[in-house]
Amino acid sequence: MLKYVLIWVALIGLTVTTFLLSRVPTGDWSIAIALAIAAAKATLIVLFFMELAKHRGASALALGTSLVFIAVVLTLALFDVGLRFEPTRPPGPLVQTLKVGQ
Amino acid sequence: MERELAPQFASVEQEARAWQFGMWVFLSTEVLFFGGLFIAYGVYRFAYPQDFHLASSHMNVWLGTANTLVLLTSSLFVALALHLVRHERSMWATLALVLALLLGVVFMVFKGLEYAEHAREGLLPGVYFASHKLHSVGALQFVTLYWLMTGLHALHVTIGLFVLAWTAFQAASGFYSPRRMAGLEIGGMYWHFVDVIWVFLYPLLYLV
Amino acid sequence: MRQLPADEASHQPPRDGVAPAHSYLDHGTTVWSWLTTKDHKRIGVMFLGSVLLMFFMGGVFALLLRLELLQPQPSFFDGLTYNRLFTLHGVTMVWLFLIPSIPTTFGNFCLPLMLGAKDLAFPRLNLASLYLYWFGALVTLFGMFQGGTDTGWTFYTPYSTTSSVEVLPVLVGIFILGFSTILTGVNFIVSTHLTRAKGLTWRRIPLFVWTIYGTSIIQVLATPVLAITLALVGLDAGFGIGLFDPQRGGDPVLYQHLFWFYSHPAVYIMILPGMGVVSELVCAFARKNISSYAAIVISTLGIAFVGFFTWGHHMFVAGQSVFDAGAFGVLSMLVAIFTAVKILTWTTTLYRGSIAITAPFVYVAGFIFLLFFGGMSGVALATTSIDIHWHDTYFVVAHFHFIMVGASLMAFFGALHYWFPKMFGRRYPEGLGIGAAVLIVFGFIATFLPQFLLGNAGMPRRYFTYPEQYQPLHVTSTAGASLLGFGFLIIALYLAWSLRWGKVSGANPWGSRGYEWLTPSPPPLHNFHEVPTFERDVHDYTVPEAGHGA
Repeated sequence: MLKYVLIWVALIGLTVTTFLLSRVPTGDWSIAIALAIAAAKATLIVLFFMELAKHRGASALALGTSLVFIAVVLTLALFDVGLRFEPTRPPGPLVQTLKVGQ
Repeated sequence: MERELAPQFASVEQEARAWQFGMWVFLSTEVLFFGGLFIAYGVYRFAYPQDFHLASSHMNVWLGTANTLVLLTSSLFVALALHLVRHERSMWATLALVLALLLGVVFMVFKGLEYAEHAREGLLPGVYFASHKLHSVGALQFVTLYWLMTGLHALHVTIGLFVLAWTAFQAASGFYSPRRMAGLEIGGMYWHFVDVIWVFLYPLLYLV
Repeated sequence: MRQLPADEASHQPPRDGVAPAHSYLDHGTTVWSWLTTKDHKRIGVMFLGSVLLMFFMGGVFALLLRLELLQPQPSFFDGLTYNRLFTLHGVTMVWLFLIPSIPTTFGNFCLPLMLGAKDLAFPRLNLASLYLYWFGALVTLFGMFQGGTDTGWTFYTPYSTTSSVEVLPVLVGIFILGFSTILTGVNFIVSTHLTRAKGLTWRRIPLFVWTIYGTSIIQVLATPVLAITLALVGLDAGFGIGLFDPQRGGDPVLYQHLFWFYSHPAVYIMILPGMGVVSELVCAFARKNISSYAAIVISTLGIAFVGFFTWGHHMFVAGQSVFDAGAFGVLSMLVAIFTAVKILTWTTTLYRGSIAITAPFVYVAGFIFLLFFGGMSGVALATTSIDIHWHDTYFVVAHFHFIMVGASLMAFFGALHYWFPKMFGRRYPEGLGIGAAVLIVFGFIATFLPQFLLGNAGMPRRYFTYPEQYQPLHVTSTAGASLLGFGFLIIALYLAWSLRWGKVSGANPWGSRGYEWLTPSPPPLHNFHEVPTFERDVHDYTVPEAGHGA
C-alpha cells in the first residue's frame, strides 16, 4: 500500500517540478527537460502501476518495440523535412500568412 | 462459482498471463495509434518552432496541470484497487474504483471547460480556426494537433470510464478474487495507459 | 519422382479409428451454429469463403480494366469510371483479399493444430475479428459503389481531400478492417507464446507458425499507424482539419511517410505467410526436412524487421530529401538478402529430395520464380536513379504484381490445395489441379511480363488511353489475364465439386510429417482426441514410416 502512495507522491512531485521548470527560461533545452521528466513519470506508471516489473515474458519487448518504431519514423521523417530542398519544406512557397475567419 | 478453464490453456495462471500479454500487445498498437499524431507533432514542431511556442502559451496551463494531477491520482486509486483485491478486501477495492471513476469524470469536466474556452477564442482546428491573436499557419497546425491529440485522448478516457464502471460493478458483486482478477488487471492497465499518454501530452501541449 | 501414397491411404480407416463424420464440420450444421462458433477451424473456413468472394470481385474488376486497355482510345468507360474501377480493384485486392488472405484462413485453421492447442488463445476475439471483417468489407464496398472513390488505393493528399467524390465511407471501412487485422494479430501472437503444447519449444515450432508470427508482429505494429493516418485524411475530407493541407501549412509528404510506414510492411503481411506456406510445402513434397531451419526463421524475422525501414522508396520523386532517398534505397536492398537466403534454403531442400509433382508443388515452383524475378526487379527499383525513369509506370505495376499478387496467389492456392483435404477430408482431382496450376503460372507471366516492357517503354500507370505503339503489349497482357481468369474458373469448379463428391482423403493423403497432419482430417471439434507429444521435429522424414500419417 505504502509503495503505491510513495510512487504517487513521486509522480506529483515530478509534475510540480516540470511545471515550475517551464516558468524558468531554459531555452532550447526546455523540450528535452520536459520530455525527460515525462519519460520518468511514464516509466514509474508502467513499471509499478501497470506492474510491468512483475510481468514475465515478452510484454516489455512488445512495448519497447512500439516505442522504437515511433522513434524510427520520427527520426527519418525529421531527416526528410530538415534536409529537403527549400520550396518543398513546409509551409512551402505558396503560403506565408494565414487569412482568418470570414 | 469457479469458472471453467478454457480448453486451450494448461492452467489458470497461463490463462491470466495470456490476458496480460494480450493487453500489452494491444497497448503497443495503441502506442503506435497515438504515435502517428506524436510524429506529426514532431515534424510540425520542427518546421514551426516559434509558432508552436507562441501558440502553446495560449493554452490554459492551470487547467492542464490540474487535470494532470487529477488523472495521476485516479491512477493511484486503480493501483490500490488491485492491491486491495489481492488482500481480499473487495468492498474497499470497489470504493477505490468508484473514486478513480469520479476523478475521471472530473478530468472530462475540466477538459470540457477548456474546450469551451478555446471555442470562444476561435482556437479551433482546420477551417474553423478564427483566432484574432494567432495568425501563422504554424499556430494553426498546433491548434489542430492540440484538438486531435486531446480529442483522441478524451475518447480513450471515455472508453476507460466505461471500463472502470464495469470493473467497479464486478468488484461490488464480489466477482474478483486473488485467483481471478485478470479482468480487473487489464482494465486497470488500460486506464493507466490513458494516464501515460496524458503524461506526454501535458508538457508537449501546455509547457514547451 | 515419387508416387503419392494417396490411393492406399484413402482406403485406410482414419488413424485413431474415428470416422471423418465426427469432425468439426458436424458439430451443428445450422447457419446459426456457424455464425456463433468459437472454433478456430470454422472461423478459418468462413474467412476462406469470404476472401475467395472478394478475390473473385477484385478479379472481375481487373478483367474490366484489361478490357478497357485493349484499345488505345476510350472504348467502354470514361476517365472517371476507369479511375474508380482501378481504385475498386486496388482496395478490394489489398485490404479485402491479400492482407487477410493466408493468415485469417490457413493461419486460423492450422496455427492451433501446429501448436498442439485446442484453440487460439482468445476464440471469442477471433469471431469478433471475422465480424469486423464482414462489417468493414460491407462499409468499404458500399462506400466504393455509392461514393465512387477515384483516388487509387493510396489516398494521396491533397487529391484525396479535395477530390469531388466521396472518400469518407471507404476510409471508415478500411479503418474497421484495420481493427479486424489488429485483433487477429494480437490473437496469433499470444497463441504462439502461450498455448503451445508440451515439448514444442521455440526451436521446434513449424516454419509456417514462424511466418504467421512474424506477420502478426507486422500487423500489430503497422496497422495502427494506417488507422490514424486514414482517420486524419477522413477528418480532413469530411470536416476540413487540414493537417496535410499545404495551403494551411500542412505537409503532404508527411502523409506519404505515415501511409507507407504501414503500406510497405503491408507487402510483407501479404508475402511472409506465403513464404511460410512454401517452407511447409517444399518439405512435404520433397520428403526432406528444411535444409536450414535457422536460416528460414532468421530471414523471416529479418524481413519483418527490415521491412519497416524501407518505406521511403515509394517517395523517391515525392520531394523527399536526397539523404532519405539514399538511405531508404540502401535499406530496401537488405530485404533482397533475406529473400535470397530463403530461396537458397528452399532450393537446397529440394536438391536430391524425393519430389512429388502435385498441384501444390507447381504453385511452389511458380512462387519461387515470381518471387525471384519480382524481387530482382525490386532491387533495381530501389536504385534511385533508375527508379526516376520507372516511377509510376507499368514497370512498377508489373513489379508489385509479381510479388505481392503473383507470389502471394501462388502460395494461397498452393496452401488451398495442400490443406483442402485437411479442412474438408476430401481430395480434388489431381490431374485437373496440376493442369490449372500450370495455366495459372503461365497466365500470370503472360499478363505481367508485357507490363514490364510497357513500363520501360514509358507507359504510365492509371491511364485509360495510350499511344498506339503500346497496343500489342497491352493486348498480350489482356490475353494473359483471360488465361488467368479461365484457370481460376476451372479451380473454382473442381474444388466446389470436390467438396461434395471428392474422394475421401484419409488423415494424411500427402504422407506429410507436418504437425497439423497428426490429427484426423477433418479434425474433431477440439482438434485432438489426445494431444500429440511432439517427440520428433516437424517434417523429419529420416525415421521410417512407423506410426505417423500414411
